[in-house]
Amino acid sequence: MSDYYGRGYDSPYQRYSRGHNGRRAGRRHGGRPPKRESHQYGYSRRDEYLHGETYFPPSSRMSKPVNAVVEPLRPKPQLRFNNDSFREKYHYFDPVSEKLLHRDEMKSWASEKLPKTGYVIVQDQSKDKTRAVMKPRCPDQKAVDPRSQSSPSPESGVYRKRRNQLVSLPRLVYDKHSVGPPPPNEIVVYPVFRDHSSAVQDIAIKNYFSTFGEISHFQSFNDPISALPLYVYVVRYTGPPGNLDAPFRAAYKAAKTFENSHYFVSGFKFAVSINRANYSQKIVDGFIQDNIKQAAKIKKEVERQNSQKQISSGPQAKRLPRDLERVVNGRPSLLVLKRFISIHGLTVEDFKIKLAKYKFSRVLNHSTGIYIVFNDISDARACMFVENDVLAMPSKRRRTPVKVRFSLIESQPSIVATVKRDGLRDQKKTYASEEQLLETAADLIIDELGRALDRDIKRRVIGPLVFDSLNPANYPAITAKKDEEEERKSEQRRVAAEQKQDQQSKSASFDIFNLYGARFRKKNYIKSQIGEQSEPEYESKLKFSSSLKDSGQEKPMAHLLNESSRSNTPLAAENFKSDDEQAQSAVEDDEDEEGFSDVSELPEKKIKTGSSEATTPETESNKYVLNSSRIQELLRIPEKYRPDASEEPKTIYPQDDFDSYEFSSVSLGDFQRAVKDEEDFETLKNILNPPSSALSSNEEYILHSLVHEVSTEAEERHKVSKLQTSANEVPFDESLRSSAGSFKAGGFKKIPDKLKNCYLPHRRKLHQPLNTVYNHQDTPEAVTDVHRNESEKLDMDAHAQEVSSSRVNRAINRRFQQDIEAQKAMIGSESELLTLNQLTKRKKPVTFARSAIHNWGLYALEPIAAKEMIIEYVGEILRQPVAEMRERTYLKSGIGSSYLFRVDESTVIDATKKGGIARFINHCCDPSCTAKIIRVGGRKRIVIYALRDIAANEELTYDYKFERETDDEERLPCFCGAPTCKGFLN
Amino acid sequence: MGQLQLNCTLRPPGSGNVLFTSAKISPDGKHVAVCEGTDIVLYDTINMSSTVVPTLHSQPLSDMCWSPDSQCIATASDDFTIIITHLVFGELHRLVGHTAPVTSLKYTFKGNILCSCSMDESIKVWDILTGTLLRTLSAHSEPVVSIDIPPFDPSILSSGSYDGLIRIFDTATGHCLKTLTYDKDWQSENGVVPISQVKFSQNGKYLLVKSLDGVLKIWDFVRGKVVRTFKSDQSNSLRYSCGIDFLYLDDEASDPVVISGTETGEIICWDSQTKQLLQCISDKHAGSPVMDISCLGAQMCSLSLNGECNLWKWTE
Repeated sequence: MSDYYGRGYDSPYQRYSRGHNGRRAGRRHGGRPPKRESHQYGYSRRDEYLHGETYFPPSSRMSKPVNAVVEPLRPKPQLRFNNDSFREKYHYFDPVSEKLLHRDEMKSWASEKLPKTGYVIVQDQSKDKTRAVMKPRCPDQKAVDPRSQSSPSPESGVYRKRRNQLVSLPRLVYDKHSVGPPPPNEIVVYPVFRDHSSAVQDIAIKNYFSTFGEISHFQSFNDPISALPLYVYVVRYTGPPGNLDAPFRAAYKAAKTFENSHYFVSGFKFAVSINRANYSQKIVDGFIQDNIKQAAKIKKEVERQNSQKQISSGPQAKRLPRDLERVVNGRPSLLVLKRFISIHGLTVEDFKIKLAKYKFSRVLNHSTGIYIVFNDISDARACMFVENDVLAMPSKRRRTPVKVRFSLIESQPSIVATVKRDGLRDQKKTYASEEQLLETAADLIIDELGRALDRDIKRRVIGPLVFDSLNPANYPAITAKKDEEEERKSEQRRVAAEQKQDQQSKSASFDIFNLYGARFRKKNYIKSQIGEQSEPEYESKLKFSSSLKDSGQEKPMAHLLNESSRSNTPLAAENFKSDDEQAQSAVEDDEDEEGFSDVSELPEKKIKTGSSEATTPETESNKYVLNSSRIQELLRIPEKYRPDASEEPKTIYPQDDFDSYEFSSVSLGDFQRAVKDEEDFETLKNILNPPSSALSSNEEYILHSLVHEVSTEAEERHKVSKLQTSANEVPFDESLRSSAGSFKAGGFKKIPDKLKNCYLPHRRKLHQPLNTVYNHQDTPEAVTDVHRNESEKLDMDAHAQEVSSSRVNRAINRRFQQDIEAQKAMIGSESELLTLNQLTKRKKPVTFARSAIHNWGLYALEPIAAKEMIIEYVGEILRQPVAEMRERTYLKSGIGSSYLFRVDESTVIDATKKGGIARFINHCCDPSCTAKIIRVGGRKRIVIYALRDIAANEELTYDYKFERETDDEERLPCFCGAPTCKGFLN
Repeated sequence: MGQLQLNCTLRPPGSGNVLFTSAKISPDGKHVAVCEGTDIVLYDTINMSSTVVPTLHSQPLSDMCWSPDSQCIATASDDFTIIITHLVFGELHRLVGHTAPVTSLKYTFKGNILCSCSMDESIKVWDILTGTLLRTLSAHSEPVVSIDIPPFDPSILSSGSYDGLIRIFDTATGHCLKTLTYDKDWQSENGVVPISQVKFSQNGKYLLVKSLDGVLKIWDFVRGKVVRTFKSDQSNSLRYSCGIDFLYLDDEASDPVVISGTETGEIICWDSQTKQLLQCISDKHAGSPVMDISCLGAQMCSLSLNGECNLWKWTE
């Protein structure tokens, strides 16, 4: 010890040693002022203590040196404030020297200004204000009672408090002895503001005021002019027969209640006052006068508006601009001036929205303004009446809404028209005498009759004549020639059609002709039928028309062509044809409508056809022309086998692709299916060339049965292959089939994981659990995915309802645990039964099933929210060397799956043989869970938490976080199927 | 102790490339059915005549099973389907549901339920009356190659798979009751040994299991213990799942015989009680793997991959 000090070790050591050796060390310590050295021991110790050093009282065991003199046990009293700062700064009484320190340095408070004897503060009332004044204290002066000094003065003997209120006089109750009129027992209830928007029921008022007393009379007043209620009521109270005062009191009470306030009922504000000196009559009269004034005002207003309207609709009124006349079309419209609109930045839409309740037909924006067009003048007027100067539109310029001023435009052209008609009517009205009237009437009738006769002659005499002359049946030579021409024309059209088809595409088939041809024929047929049924006078005309159509029927392709290619064909003939066609159709239409009018058109049409013939080019297309007989022939062929106009020949039936059959051998059934018609059969016969004759009946039977067998076999094959693909969705990998025989004959071979996908459906469905056990009672056939999905959905729904907040659950569990803890404390012994694992309580319902990623997987049974705890990873806790050894043995024995989970450097949890369900969780590169190591009760445990929301029946995965393996042989392939899959676990 | 005597050769080895996988003696002992391609060939054990029963399978057959009344034959085919063929009326049902070749099937002794296992790692339980699928048990991770039901107890089902696991299922619930790992402590150097055949003993208490390392074991599956171990093949990694069966003698006193076919064409018989090698027949089957061994009473039928089918009789 002394060596250390000799070498000059610094304070920590010294302090330590001093602490140990107490006084001895303290004495030895140098550097202390000698004054304090002389202090008593106690002070010096205390001093050290105050300076924040470790202090052991001398009595403590540690401070006692081995050979110490026995000290008195009780510590000396210690002075608390005997330190430097106190001593130096303050007026300090040193108890040791028993005198005050700094006595001389301290200043006295006494000064020249202040009296020596001190001072007092008194209230000075010398001026009108009382204020505090400092006065020198006079210790010699004796205090006296001030009350004794102020003797009572004689004039101030009667003092009375001034009233600020009138004294309430007692009320003289009216009784039988009273003389004079009784006090008022009525109240009048009248509205404060006149407002007719809402109505108040009288009974409500009556009921309310009956709370003040018994009502004997209740009267409400109506306007004698309009018979509208004025909402003025007079309530008269009554009382029991003996008590004369009661009615007055009730009236007073009611009036007093609403003296300063108003009586509110259903939005009305009523004033209530006592009906004194016929006050009610005054009020009623006032209201009536008010109403009269109001009515007069309204009347004036209406008059003013009417006059305005008259002015606006007068000659000075706005005119509809010329270019809008057609659009407005004689309908009334409201105009909002352009200036107004442009100033306030209003748009058509604003008006449309604001005026939505009116039946305007459109809103036009014009250079002169916005026109709101109405279909009906009454609507326009209504809108004008209601909205003019009332409708407020939000202005873009000003902050406040602006009132819109409309001006009504009653349309001009309609006015003109009516004027015109009016003029006529006026003429007719001004008949001079009855004779003139009769004359005019007769004139009119004669005129009408003449017109009818004219029409009749045209219809009955001239018409048939003309038709007869034009009937082609009467001119066989001409019709024959015409037919010929038509034929030629049709051929040309055919050629043109073919060319066009060549140009366009090969897709068009012969069918299209048939389609149109049939339709046309049908139409004509119907028309001619109608003709037969109709009146004889029209027969000739109809015959004509039908003959016209007959001629058209011979050239159905022309119709067709015109139908299909009415425009943009470069050929001249086509253009002509289309004209022709249009003319014809026009003729037909006219016939349907009027009958006679087409007479004049006919020759024109003839000319047209003639001209078309002349200009039709026929030179180059001649060789392709099919004559009509050939066409007829073609048409006779069943539709299916008709030759095609397209360039490439096409088969009628879809091609049989024997190569695409799944089985290489072709059965007889296939042939049967392949043979579609006679021709095919002939070909097949030629190919096979069967021995036709030499079949006995027996052999024939055998052949038949063989054929049947073969065909059924083929059918079965198709069925099976279909079933296989339907069950499996993907074709079975043929490399998995043994070459020569069945699976068993093929013997054992390791199936690569990748190929398993082709026959394990659950492998292909990521996150779709395959329950280990399925009950198939519900599904009679092979279990279908549809069924499964449905049942899963149901499950999910059920679970979704059950999902409750895990927080609540946890709270419940915590409470439960607390209960158990309390019980444990009461029992007082550590019972194994009662040790509760917090983690198992928070566990989520999960199950294991076959997984798509690897053999088994863990699946959520319920939806799990993100960040929820799912399950603890339970297993044997191993030390690191043991884990390494086990890993080696597992690898050697072929347990490919690793269930070792590292907790920290020295601990590994092995769930290979003893472990929880959590070991089934597979790796995924895009995991749904994460493993966290948390401390529970001083032990590290692995807990799986959800990373994101997990749906029911979804597979749980976490990232195994294996170390990267450099050796490619050692790397484990990953089948997690995530889009971000790295391909390997390590 | 007696030994097997050749009764007759039902079928000489075939020359073609058709491979034979299954031959079963009918429960009534009158017929032996042999799978040939997609057909079943029926041999009469008395007059040795044969008839071909065609099936509608499009792929060769792996296994077949007689119905307990000897009227129907269920066939497991590579076309993923099972067809139940009545010997007189033809096809009764086509059971569709597997997504890979069906490897094995087994009737319950009542004949109303058929269990099948497949390369698709599942076991399916079918109702024969309606031909509907009752249940699917997916509990293996490699093709399930063999299943068996105790002769008089259809409540349990055992399956053997290439994943080296033997599982015992409760057929009523479909739950796995027990898993018999081939090498419980994973001490073997070669890792997982695929199981090739499982066969219950007649009393339903023991399970004879053959694995592809040529070792036969008799499991007391209730206790999960191996009670007997036989070594039939020399090679440690075999390819074919050769047939095994118990042969029960007529007299109650003598112990059942364990018969196993080997890949080299031998048929080996052991005493199940004493583990004593009783017989090793190597002069037949000409080196072709013995694919199936089917016993009924003292009769035994063996079939090798090349199609040679022999009928044997145990004689004292």
